[in-house]
Amino acid sequence: MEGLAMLKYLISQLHQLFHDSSSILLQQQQPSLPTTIFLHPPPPTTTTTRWTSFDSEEDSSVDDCCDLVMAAGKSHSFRISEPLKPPPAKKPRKDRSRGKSLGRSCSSEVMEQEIWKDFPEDLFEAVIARLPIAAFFRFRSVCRQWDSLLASQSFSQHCAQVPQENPWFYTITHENVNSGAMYDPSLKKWHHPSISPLPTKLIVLPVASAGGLVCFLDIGHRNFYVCNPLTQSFKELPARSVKVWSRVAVGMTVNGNSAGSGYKILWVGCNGEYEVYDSVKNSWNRPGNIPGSVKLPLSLNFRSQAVAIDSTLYFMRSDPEGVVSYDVATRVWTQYIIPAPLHLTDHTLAEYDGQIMLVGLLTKNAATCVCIWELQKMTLLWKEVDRMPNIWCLDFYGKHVRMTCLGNKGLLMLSLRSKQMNRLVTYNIARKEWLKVPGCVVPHGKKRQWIACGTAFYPCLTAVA
Amino acid sequence: MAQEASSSTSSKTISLKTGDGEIFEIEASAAKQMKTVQRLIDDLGDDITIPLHNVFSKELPKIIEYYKKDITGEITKDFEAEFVKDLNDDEVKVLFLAANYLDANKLFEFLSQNIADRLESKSVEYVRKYFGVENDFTPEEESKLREERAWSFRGIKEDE
Repeated sequence: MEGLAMLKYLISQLHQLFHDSSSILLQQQQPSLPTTIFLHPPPPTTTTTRWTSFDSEEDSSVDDCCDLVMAAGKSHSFRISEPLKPPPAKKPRKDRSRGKSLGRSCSSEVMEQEIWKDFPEDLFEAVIARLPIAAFFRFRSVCRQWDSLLASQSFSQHCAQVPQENPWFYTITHENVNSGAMYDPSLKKWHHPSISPLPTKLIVLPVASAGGLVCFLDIGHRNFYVCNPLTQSFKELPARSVKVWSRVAVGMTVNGNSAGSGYKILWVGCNGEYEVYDSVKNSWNRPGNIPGSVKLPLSLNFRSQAVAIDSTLYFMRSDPEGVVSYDVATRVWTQYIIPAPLHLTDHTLAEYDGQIMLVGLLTKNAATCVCIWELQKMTLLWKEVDRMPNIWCLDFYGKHVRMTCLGNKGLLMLSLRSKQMNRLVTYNIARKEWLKVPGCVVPHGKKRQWIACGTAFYPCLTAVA
Repeated sequence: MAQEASSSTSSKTISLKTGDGEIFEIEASAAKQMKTVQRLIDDLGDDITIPLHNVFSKELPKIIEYYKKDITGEITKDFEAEFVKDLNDDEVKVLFLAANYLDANKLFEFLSQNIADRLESKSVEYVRKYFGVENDFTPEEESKLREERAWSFRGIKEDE
């Protein structure tokens, strides 16, 4: 078929012509730089946020985050940035590789600079999205465009494709309740951001986390706040409809796989009252009453964080001992009666890969040990699966120990406190690995901070409250 | 000429010609993984030497090596580690750009991660040079940003 062959030949010639005029052919002086230059308009500049550095000298002397009583801190001027509007969606990579380009003939070094000047954005976004969080924040200083990547839609998409392995821990220290010290288990390092993600006048405690966001409740149990500890994205939730501010247990889930699709927050009180907040509608909703199958009063274990598995939240209760669950999708409450292990204190729920776990202190004859149990679904019994290494437990022999569990999924941080000691340990449920956590010392400080409470969160640069 | 390939696609090889005029052979199934190549094959037919003007003889063999392993399902963490072991940062960058041009997704993602790993401990200035990005902050702005994000610089000894 001659006509077809001629057509093909013509097409190949056109391709040749197109590429010859468009590609830069550097002869070997250095490793060659084969690339076409892409012309595209510079990205829109975004306003830089401006913050005053936060500096608190609060004093507190409390033992347990639940009993915190704080004097109001100094007030500082504080400006919350408006959410930056994302620039229009970038062209997909494959279209760009056929883009126009510029032909030049000059020295290879100048040529190199010219080429890199118009380096396609989403190429470096693909790399940056894979950097560890701390490195990302450092490299935001590279140039203005990199500084504003958090507002870029294409960057968000890249980030969404890179799963975070380990959670970070947002903690409240005794000395400074308003500036969260964050522990990064990948680097085994404490980070002390100079800017708090929270308004300075608030005294709040982290109660739940999902999708890279942390939910806070003020110590009067009145108002809820949600923020991304990494980016200062912050929101005060609308007021609840209750009139009595009693203590509540809180759970948080994301709709779908990422915080981008919204989240729900549930609070439940001992008298069976509860409400669900939907971030998409930005409102609280009371979907009904707790059924009679759940015994009231609901003696909730407030020291235990709720556990979220898909759309279901699990809370620990006592009297009778067990777990109460609520499915935000089906709006169904279920009660499971599960006898607690003997001599158990300071226990809390956790979860790994859909498996519900229990973490707590076992104290017998002055010996204290941290134990881990797994819930046997068929029998509804706790089965011990691991214990803290004995040599570490010996440090607590004969001492009265309190334990707080920060985080409830996959990787846990345990804060063990006795009169003179605060030991921090992480436990990796999957690997059954116990690791010591370095002491939390503020920059230019020498004293180890006591960790009062906190929560784990999966760092997500693009989660928006 | 219409293709009446007597051999099955999986054993057919495609000829690729680099920007510096060298020709390399690749199996059709491997070529399929590079969407740019596949598109050119769709346009030009698979019996013509496919011109790749922006890929050169230094990197194409390495890319072919990767996809040869891929089609046999043998890509492991060890293989990938070995693959980049002797490459310096600039060589990886060249491969990365080539993978982008060829729209070779798997290799592109692997190299993105590898470059991120390499840059993790580098200085801000090194990263600028690496991507050819100009610093458009004033010195005051830059020191202010560093101060705000001091936490991320703490304890970092930035390599050049």
